[in-house]
Amino acid sequence: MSVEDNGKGMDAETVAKITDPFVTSRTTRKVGLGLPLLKEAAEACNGFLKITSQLGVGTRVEVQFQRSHIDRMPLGNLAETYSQLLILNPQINWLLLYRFNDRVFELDDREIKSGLDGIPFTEPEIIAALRKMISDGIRTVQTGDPE
Amino acid sequence: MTTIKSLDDLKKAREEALKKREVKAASGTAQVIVGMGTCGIAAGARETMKAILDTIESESLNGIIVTQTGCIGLCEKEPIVQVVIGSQPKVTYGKVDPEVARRILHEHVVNGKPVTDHVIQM
Repeated sequence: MSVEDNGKGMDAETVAKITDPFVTSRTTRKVGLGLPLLKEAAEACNGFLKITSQLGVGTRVEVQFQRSHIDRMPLGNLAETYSQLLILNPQINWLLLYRFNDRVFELDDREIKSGLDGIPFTEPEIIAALRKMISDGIRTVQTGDPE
Repeated sequence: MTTIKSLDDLKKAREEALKKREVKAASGTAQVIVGMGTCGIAAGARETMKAILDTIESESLNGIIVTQTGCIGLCEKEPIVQVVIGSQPKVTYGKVDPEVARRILHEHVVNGKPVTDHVIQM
């Protein structure tokens, strides 16, 4: 799994420290658990977490899990997770890519946003259409079933 | 990439939403903010969020803006949902499971009566 952004990036010193739960950019509290827990989940099943970043350019977090490992965490409801990311964060341009062997589901939410032309993602009709689009795409990749 | 069929579905959805929004615009905006930090998710915020989106979708509740926030420092009260109706002060709810979330949508967001037994005084 990888998450890549064009955010403000980090310097090398920060990248080296960032998987420490007591190192965080938040100002209200001294603890940030996202990256440390993700690293632990990957290493528990023979995987790894790798961060590359450049100030002013962006950051890439790459995580690998050994799927067959008994301690590999379940994937969870991927369609719902993806849908929530899009619906709840309209200020971000999301590019989703989900691949299994030669089957791929890709979605660039700019296409959707331009089609919607100002209607928010949280309108019920749009929630329904988005969730269907995403769950159909993911099911196609997982089962090879186009409908 | 998204198929033409999917984009057609979206255009149709947009038309329906547009019609309803004209009706709804008069009554003011409602904003529902769900805490989705690590503490929130560990306490079950994903299920709470799913219940909120499911209810909006199945009951066609237009005009509600749903967003997420990170940890607000009340981890023991997660899942936390905050509601802002028009220009009224923000109301913060704690320990919001899917059942409570549905109550908040029906009683507070739609009918204007906060669910007092789950409100946290900030």
